[in-house]
Amino acid sequence: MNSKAAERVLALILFWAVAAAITYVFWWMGKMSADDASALVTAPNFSAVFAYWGLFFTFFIGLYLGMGGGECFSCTLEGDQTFSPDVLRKACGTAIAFVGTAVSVMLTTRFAQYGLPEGAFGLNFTSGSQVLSLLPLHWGFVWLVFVQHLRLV
Amino acid sequence: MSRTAGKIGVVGVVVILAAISTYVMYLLEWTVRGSDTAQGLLGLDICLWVIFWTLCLTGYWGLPADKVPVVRKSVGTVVILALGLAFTYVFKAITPAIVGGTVSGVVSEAYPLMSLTYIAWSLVFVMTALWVGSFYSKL
Repeated sequence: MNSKAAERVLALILFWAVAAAITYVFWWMGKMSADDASALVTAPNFSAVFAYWGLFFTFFIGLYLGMGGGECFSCTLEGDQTFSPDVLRKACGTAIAFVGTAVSVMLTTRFAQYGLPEGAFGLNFTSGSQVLSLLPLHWGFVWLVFVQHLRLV
Repeated sequence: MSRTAGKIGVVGVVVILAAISTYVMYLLEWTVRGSDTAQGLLGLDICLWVIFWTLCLTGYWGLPADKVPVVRKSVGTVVILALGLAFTYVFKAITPAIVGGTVSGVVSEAYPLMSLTYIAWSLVFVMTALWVGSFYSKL
């Protein structure tokens, strides 16, 4: 296997390892809750949660950061450059997307009461619903597409 | 003008395919029915099918375009949807062993997110096709 093919296989493994880790975190948060009704990852939604997170990281790490090929993330360093402008641009885009996602999740859970019982507010995972495990990644998509297509940085 | 007509045509095909896909999910009883929750999930279903066909036709097929390898892209689309279906069933089968619980019985009751799960895996494979395609800019 040549190095390019190996890099792509490693990238694919990375997407799904991160997706599995995040799915596990949401499952674990549900297990920590005393109330079974607030479990975030259950038998009916496990496959969807795992698949959507895998989809998200295929887009974020593979297509936005360019890992595995395409728009190369780390090979833009030239000569005596210490930091690649592209690396900095991607890092800024990632930071904007993550902060935007966090703010969006907080606002939607706070003001729209999205998927939360009456009276709940903020990132209240312990009294949330199964939908909450899908909320951050949908906002993440919105912000990454926003950053990438508007060429914000 | 012809380019604009092409884009409008693609949007029209996306809407039609999304409507057909959602209706098929309804016929298969893979959607939740008869509750307030069902209305929200149906909306999500429609939205995600629109996203899927938009990615498929504009990203994977590269439409609107002058020349498209129709046979190859058609086969690829069928493979993407078939892989999505296979992974949906495989994960439905192994889920109880991973997180516990049960997924057996009437699909729309015991596995209410079947349609959303199928779209999720289909989106995974169309996105992976786009990622693989990004290695080869001339494809």
